[in-house]
Amino acid sequence: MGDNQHRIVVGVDGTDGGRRALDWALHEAATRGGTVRAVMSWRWDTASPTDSPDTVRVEAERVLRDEIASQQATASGEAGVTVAAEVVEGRAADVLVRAARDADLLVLGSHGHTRVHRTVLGSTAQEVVESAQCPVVVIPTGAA
Amino acid sequence: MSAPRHVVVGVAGHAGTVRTLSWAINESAASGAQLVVVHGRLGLRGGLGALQTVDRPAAGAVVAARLRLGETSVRVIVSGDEPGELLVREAGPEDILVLGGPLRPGWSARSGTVRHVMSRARCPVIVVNERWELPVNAPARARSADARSYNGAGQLAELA
Repeated sequence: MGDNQHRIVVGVDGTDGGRRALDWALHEAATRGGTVRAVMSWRWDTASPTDSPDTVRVEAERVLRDEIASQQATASGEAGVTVAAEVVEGRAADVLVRAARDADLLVLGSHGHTRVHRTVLGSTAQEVVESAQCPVVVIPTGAA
Repeated sequence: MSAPRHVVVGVAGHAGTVRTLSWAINESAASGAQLVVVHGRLGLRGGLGALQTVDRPAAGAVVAARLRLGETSVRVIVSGDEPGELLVREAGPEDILVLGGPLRPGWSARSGTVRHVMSRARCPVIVVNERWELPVNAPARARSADARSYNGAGQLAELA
């Protein structure tokens, strides 16, 4: 940890896993006296007949804003935590690893349930664990 | 979201053990959760004494952690069970689990204990990888022990 502020980057993607990750990050920041930077990646599907890069980015910004507002409204005791929001174009794993280059902790949810295996590690989480410079927290499906 | 009841940390006598323990000890101190240090090795069972026979840097860190956190706040479990199963079993839904990460991209997270734990844990899993630098305020002894484990343990990934 580089200074007294615990710098936490959290991946948010509009899913339940992302919500749990944000919840955990807020709690950790409140416990350790840190700040949270919520990051959402977006990519434009060039095959989409209706969307444009701008509409995808704006939608990502809306989702991220709503997720943060929702978590801050329901989280107890974490009201004083500073949360910065950022939407970044690119693959989720690349964006998160880059965003956490100077962070103390990177938090993300695991999206891994399949019918074949009880649980598997999501590909983004797996890639992030392999590449991140800082400790990585993976919140499993259904974690408290 | 509430504070974890236990911080369960896996040590394996490989590179980065003290680094991983350092993170877990700080988390335990910040949250007030009991620290549970877990080592799985065939044919071995016990507590701190057993750990000292296989991982002296980790055992030294445990002694320092007991001084810092209190004697009853640090528990050591050495068991002959397979490390991944042992860690998943010891960490309940209200705990957090800390383990060392892959040394080589593309290898450890796809095999062995790291993958097993991350796939089956019932609680948040913190992977402290080898690229993370120990805090500048870490005890000099811990930083030194960590450097030795780096040099001595070659390219084996912790707990993998």
